[in-house]
Amino acid sequence: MPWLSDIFLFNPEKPLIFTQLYFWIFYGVVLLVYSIIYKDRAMRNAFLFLVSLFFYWKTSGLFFLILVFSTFANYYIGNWIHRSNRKSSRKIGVALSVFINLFMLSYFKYAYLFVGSVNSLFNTDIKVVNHLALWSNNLTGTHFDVSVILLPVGISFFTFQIMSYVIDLYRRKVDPVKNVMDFGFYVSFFPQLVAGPIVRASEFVPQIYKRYSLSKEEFGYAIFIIMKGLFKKIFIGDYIAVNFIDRIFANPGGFSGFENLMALYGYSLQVYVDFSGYTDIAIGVALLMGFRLPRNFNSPYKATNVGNFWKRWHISLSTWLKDYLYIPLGGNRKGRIMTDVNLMITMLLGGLWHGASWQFMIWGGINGLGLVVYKMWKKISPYEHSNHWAVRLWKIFITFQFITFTRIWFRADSMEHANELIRQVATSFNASIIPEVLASYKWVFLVMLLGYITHWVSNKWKLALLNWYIKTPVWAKVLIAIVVVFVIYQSWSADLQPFIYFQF
Amino acid sequence: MKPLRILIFFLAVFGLLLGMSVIFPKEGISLGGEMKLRFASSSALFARDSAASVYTDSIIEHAMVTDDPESGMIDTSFVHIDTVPNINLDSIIQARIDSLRKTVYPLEIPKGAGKRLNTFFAAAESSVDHEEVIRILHYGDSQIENDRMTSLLRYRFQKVFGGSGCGMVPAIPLYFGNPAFREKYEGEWIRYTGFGKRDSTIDHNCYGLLTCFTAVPSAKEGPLPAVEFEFLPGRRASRFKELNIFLHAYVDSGMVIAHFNDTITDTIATLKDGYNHIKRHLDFRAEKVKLEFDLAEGGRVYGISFDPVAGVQVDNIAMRGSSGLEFSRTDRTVLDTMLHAVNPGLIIMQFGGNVVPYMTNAAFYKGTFKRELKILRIISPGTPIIVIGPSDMSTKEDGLLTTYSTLEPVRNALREAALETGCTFWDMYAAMGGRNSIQDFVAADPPLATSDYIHFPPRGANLLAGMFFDAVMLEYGKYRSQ
Repeated sequence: MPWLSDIFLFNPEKPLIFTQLYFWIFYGVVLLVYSIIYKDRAMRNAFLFLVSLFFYWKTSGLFFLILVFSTFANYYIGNWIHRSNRKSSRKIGVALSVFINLFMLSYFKYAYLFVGSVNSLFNTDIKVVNHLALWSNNLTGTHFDVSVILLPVGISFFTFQIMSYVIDLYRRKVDPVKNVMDFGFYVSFFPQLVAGPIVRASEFVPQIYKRYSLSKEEFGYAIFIIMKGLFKKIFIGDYIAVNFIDRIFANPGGFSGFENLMALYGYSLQVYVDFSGYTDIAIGVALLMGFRLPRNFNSPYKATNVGNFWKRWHISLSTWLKDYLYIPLGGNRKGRIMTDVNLMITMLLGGLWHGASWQFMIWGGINGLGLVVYKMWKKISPYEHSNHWAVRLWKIFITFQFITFTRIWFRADSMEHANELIRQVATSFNASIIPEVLASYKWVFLVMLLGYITHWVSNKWKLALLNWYIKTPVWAKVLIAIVVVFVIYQSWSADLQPFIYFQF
Repeated sequence: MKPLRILIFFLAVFGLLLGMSVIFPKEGISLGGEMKLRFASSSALFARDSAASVYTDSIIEHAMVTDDPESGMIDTSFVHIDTVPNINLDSIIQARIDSLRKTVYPLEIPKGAGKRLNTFFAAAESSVDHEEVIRILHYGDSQIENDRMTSLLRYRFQKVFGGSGCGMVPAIPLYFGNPAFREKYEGEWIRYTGFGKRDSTIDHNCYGLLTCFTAVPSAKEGPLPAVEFEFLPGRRASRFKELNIFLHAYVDSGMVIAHFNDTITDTIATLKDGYNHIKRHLDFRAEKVKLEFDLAEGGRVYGISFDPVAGVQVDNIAMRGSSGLEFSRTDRTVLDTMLHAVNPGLIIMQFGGNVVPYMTNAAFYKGTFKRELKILRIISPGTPIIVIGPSDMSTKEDGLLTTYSTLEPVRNALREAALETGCTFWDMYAAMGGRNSIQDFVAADPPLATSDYIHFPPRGANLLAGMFFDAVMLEYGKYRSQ
């Protein structure tokens, strides 16, 4: 029965993600059971843990065993830390947990970067071997490919989430969860499992033991934010990516500097609508089950400086890095130079968290430099405290340009492509083809414009729209949801923009 | 708000959407022009994807592909004559043929074309002994831009038959990115093409072998216009021993000054008014070549070629947006002259992709493409021609990706045009797995096709070029075993 295997078996080409119909059917089934058992907290938590594991199985296959291992290992280490009164034992416990988590992350995420760097540094030819697969093959007769190490989806998110729990236990900032099922639920809660936000135990664990509650206003907000997320991700992000941005980044040398520059600005928008859209949906989906996840984005391209940007972009990661890396390194308590050094280390490692390549290190490094330079500049800038609208506009403009510039290394497939993009912009800009490019890709550019306008529009207007939606009756909410889905479908089903050549 | 009410809300939305999918016209509602409202049909909503092609999966899974055709990983060439001198070559070839038979998507060779291919194999085999360069001209559309596909073919052909260098390139490329060198230029050079939109200010059709030329600025004022190539080390494509420049000067007494490695200067004086072919043998390794053009009234460069002394050379002639119909619109004098100067052994014509989205009359395309092939047969009689058909290309129908309905008619038109004019045909579409195979290429990790479901990044291009090369080598094996 193929439909049965479609539902229950893992298919790497069809992960369970928010933009697929299958996810919403899955969510409907979850809601159905949830509406029956939600009053029994233990059963509710156990149920959500199990469906989260199923969600992860459908997304990552057998890697859900890694999640299970990590859950059990850290739960018991956490309990040991909590029970122990000797500082040395507590230190050993937290060190063991950090080692296990970082080892797992390094093994799955950074093995290729490490081996590649060693090979190029020492001119060796070491090959990556998946020892986990080898061990499994020898022990149980499985047939996993030992020559590749695949990256489990969301490992960076749940690893950081688990580490925050154990470190907070060590710091005695939180109490341990009551049982392993509850901990598993906290770690694997499916809305935020694969793309965040990274939820702190102090924010989430208390909710595990609370009764379900959801006001009508929260219901309206949740539905609104889900629709907003879907619109951002599919209508804007996917459309401009498939029809323009991906093509340019696949071969930057084959396009004019202008097209490369537009792809870069497009990507700056795409990465925002894609990521924030996904977390919007996660927040909405979780809220409908009575769980409040923290806000992860706050109109980041309205930032007036790089520091301000990082307080608005991927907030759960920025604050994690601040609390568990920057401050433990010494933060700003050890003098000006060490503050800068700590900032650079934090941003470089933050870059590496995003991806295992030197490009991400460069991206993190440039952002770190941006922070350091801004810290110096604000001391001498005569406009630092100006509230004039033109000054504010200029600051937003400059910050946006800087952040977009750093995206070159974030998005380019290789250093070669990053260099090609820069070279094309610098030497083959081809301004004469601008009208033709704009006319031929008019839908792409209109969608980009819409994306940026809706981002930069005043928060007052956005709030007014949200409040209006919240106040509408339920039948109107249903109709609006249908209209939104219909509009999104137009973008999703639109013919692929044909390839257009502007110069021969 | 109780979860049951939320569930009812979702069921209401879902139910109404389902109802809409039943009643909404499948062909959509036209709003005039290109605007159309669509909604998924109920069958499309729950449609299962067609089973992934086992054949395509197997190609992708077993492909040793990398971004770089010269990397060791991809070097699984048919047979390396130069590395196995003491082994009975024929037994190796036979064994290889047996394994290739199982995996290679073969060439379609009409009667008579096999002989011409054998002539190419014979010439290529003896090219080193005879100290001559046998040329493969690889014409194609945007699928081969930036030396994609060609670079792998060049590397492998040269590994088998000898040869080096990156072949003929325009003085100024469309965009920069040749994997063999980095290029700079000084002066106001302008590139004109015989394909795509032709510049209406050009009053002739002399575009030469590359179907484009670069106008050399006049040297009357300021510094001499120049182009500079800095070759990347450690690559076969960067090693060359012959420099060929094909150009047209507007008056007598022009000069080209060549600087090699910033140390050696060679002044090539007294160019004649009209077409010139400059050939220089280099007895040293040139890592940097700067060419200054001292032409009082300017001129046009048809191509600059970096070649071996002997062996096989493969030229990448990418014609963005072209359907392969340019030869009939090109002045044959320069084309003829250049063609005979470069000693063509094989011509590859890889087109069709630009016709697929807009094709209304396959018979017409067949007729016009046939005319082009006939022209090539006339200007280069005896040279075998291999036509490569289009690769799979997807469009969206009812929100689902599917192969263009026009693709197979275009492929058939090219096949018939080729076979009816005595040319060989290679069906790239079928070789990569046929209908919807491009979707597997896009879904591969790392991707083997880009998200426009048409083009290939270097990795995918190398995979297909390798398959084509194996198909040619299968015929070579047969030739060797005769």
